[in-house]
Amino acid sequence: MAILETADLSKIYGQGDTAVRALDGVSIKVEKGEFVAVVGTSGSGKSTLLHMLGGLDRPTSGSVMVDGKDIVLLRDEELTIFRRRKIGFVFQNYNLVPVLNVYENIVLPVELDGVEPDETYIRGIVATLGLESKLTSLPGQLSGGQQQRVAIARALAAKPAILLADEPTGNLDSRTSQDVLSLLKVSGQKYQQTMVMITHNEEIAQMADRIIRIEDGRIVERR
Amino acid sequence: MNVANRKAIARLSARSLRADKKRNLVAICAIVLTATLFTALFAVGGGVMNAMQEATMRMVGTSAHGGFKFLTQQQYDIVAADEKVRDISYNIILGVAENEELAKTYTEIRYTEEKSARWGFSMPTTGTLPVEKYDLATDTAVLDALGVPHRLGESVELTYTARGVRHTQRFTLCGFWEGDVALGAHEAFVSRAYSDEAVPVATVPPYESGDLSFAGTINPALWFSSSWDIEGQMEALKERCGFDSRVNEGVNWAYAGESVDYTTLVLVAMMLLLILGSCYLIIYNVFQISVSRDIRFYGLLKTIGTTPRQLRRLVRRQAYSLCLAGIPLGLGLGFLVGWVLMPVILSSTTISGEYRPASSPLIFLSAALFALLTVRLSCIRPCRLAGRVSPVEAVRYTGVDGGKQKTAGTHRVTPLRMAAANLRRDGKKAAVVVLSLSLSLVLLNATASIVRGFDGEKYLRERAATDFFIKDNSLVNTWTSAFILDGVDPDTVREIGALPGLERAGCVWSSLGEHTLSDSAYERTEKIQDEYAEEFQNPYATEALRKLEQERKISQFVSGMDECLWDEMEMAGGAKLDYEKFRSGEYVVVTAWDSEGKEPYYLPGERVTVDFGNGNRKSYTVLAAGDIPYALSESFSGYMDIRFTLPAEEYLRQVGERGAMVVAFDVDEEHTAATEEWCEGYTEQVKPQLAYVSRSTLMEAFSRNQRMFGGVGGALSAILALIGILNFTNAIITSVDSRRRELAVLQSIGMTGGQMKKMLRGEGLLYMAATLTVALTFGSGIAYVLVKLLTREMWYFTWHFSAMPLLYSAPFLLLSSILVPSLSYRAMSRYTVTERLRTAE
Repeated sequence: MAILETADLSKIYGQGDTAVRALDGVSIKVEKGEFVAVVGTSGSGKSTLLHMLGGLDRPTSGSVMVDGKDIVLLRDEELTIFRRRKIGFVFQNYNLVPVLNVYENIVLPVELDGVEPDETYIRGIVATLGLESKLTSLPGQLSGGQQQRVAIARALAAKPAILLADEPTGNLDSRTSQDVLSLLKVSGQKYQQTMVMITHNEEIAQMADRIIRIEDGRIVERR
Repeated sequence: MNVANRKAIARLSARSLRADKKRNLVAICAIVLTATLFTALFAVGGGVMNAMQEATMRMVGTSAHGGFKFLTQQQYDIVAADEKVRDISYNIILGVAENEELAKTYTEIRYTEEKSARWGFSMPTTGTLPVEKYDLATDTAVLDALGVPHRLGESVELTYTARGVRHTQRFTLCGFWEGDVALGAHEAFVSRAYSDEAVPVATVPPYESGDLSFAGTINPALWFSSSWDIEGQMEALKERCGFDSRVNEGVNWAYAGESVDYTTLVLVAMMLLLILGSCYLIIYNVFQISVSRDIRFYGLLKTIGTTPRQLRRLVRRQAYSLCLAGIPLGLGLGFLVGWVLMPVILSSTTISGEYRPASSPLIFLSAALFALLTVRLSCIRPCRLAGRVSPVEAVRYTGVDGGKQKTAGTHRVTPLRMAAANLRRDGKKAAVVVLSLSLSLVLLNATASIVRGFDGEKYLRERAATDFFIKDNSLVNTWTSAFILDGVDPDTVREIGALPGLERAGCVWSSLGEHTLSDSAYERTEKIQDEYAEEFQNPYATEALRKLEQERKISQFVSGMDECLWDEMEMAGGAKLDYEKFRSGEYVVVTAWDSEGKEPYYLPGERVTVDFGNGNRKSYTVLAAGDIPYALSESFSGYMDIRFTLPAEEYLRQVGERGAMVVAFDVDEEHTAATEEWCEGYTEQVKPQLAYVSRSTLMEAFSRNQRMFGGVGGALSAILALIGILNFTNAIITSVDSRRRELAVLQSIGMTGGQMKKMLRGEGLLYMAATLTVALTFGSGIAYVLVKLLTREMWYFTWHFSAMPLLYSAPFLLLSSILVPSLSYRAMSRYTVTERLRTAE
């Protein structure tokens, strides 16, 4: 059964002459537990697709089914709650909350949901990502690789069914990139998560179970 | 919402707070100012109301909610046992002092319980209430009249009549308190032992015994548990006690709260709105700016799973935390401001004495609530902005709404042009700053217009018919109850007649009574009632109307006037009084219902019968419609009354010998100061029951009133200006702050520091130019409406409009428009261009 499915998804920015078709009739399916890489050049629409999948942005037409639910139909409030329970995000620029320390950043989505964090689970993630000694540091005191590991920990903290990663290694050097990627893959497997990752790096894409190639808002190749 | 989730938001908001100290400082300042303004308004408003209420209570003679008069012991016991009576106390009347020295100082002899004395403002401040049998406590006015020194142990002899028996008794002074000469009635308290012996408590109510001296009757004063609808509560109590209509009850109308007049109401409502509005503008702008600057942060939080509601709560929580710091400070500061303003405001009223601003917890609570309400309202839009943020858009947000701007062609790029473009980026923010600054200017303009519009000439023309006039105290100090219309004795008139430099002196006599209308006059009153129905929507008016309908009677003043004052008569339509006919004594001048003489009761040529109240009645021909000037009148009037004015000789022929109501006189310029001094000494020492009014005392009261408006308006304008400048400063500083990188880019491509300063100052200048424009155009319109509303009831107001206050304020605006941007530029240039370029957005 597909955990993530889009049907004829389109997104148009602007109007009239200046309209830009960022996505143009995209239909994809991702099975539970799968690791999918979406590749394409800059401006191809891959980030837009990811935003749609995660409910960060609303499509102009088409539907996005997550776990059997059409998230396009949800109101803002419901969508946000759905997102923090089902979907974890990892961004290229980490996007940590600068005023909170590492531990607080990690448990934030859980606490926002009004749930006491599952300490053993969180400790497990922290250990897997090697962040034990940094828990009380502020994001500004960490290196890029460390920050991205915190972001991954945060994405995993709410035990989401789906992990969406937007160029997670875009700002990292190649050695750290390898570390982060394998951590992502390992933790994905360990916690049985479906993962969709955007990249423009073919080498990294090869690590995925499947590659979807996108160009000018259309899918040009599936493997 | 559950607790854990609150905790997360609480932590986030606490940390965000800590991260933005500059904004906090501005926001706290704004909140402090808000709370200060509300507290000052409420404390002063409450203080003035308390003072007015107490003044009314003193006039009524008690602070109790109500009471009965002339009860027997049995009747009193029934009232005292009633469950709804929260507290009760009483006094027993023995009689009225008949000592010759007290002829002008009406003194009642009573036994009183301590509470009753306290509620009646008659507790001895020196000594005590009577303890021994022949003890006496009274006020200093009575002692002065008797010529007894203010010393305990002095001997005081009083004579009075009770139940037909004349008593003369020597007492020992055991206590006294400061007595107001102007008061209608004075008290002398005796012991219960003496009271019981001399005048035992009445067992038969006076309406059965027919004893109109009411000797030995009990007068209870009582309190209900609430002051709500005392009249209704009193009615119900009377019914429960089984008293019929012959029992006298009284309610304390100090609690009726009808003393708030139109001008005050408009003033308070206007100030509330003004404060709310101006404080909204700054708090809104501070949070709007801070949220839009941190919009990426909010977008990020939303991406992670913070719901719009949580985001709104996050912003609101920060605002509330700042309130926690700002409001208490504002409450204290506001009370101080109230302390300073209170005497200024009270000095413009007829209330005398030391009064403090109200300090009940309710005042502070409501000020805090209003401040909180303002903050809450101010946060609505910033909260919505934070809640609505789209996670994706947030990443791209730069504070530019984009799209709509047209490219400006190929003009040369000048710093001023760039400044204009910068302001257009966030037009709403700029508009709020301009509005905020304009508000204080509008108020300043309105204040100046009001102060300049106070027309002293107009005031004096109306209020001073002659240079000086002397009346009974009760007619000048309108806070007393009994109006004495024959208080000016022949002695005084004689003394004035001998004053050096006297140019003319004349008297006006007046007596009250009732007039039975003729058929045609009655028809005219019916027409008046129809046409001016809204004027009669008042409980006091309905009583007058009932009398009119049932008995065709209205209240009347009959006045006699010395010939030298006839010139001052105000004839309808500016007509000339026919001296020849008037002098004959066969003609009478009659007032119309309105002051302009458009609604007459009687037409010239008609016959009218005047009842002098002493059995004399005489028929006169109506000469013309007209009235004596306000300055020479009783200074009170009813809802429908009539005045017949006759020459002094004719009046005295009909009424008999009688003291005058007022003696009015002019002196030559040379003797004005000396006469002023003479009047002051005479009314203070020789005849304290009289009061004098002169052009200079009138002018003094007038300018006090003017100063009050100037002081309050000026203070408010100053605080609003502070708010405006704060808003402006915040806007400039935050805009420089958030453009740090952009400005660095500009510098890196060759903009010099001088050019940049010019550009930033240009922004400041444009704000101020826009402010002046708005204040001059719309602002003048608003100021006009404000002033019209406020001065509707000020007949001595003449409209002056001037833009001068605005122009005077221009240098200050200019100064801050240059200073603030320069300072923020200097703060920024502490960092090098490369440092600034490197800072992430």
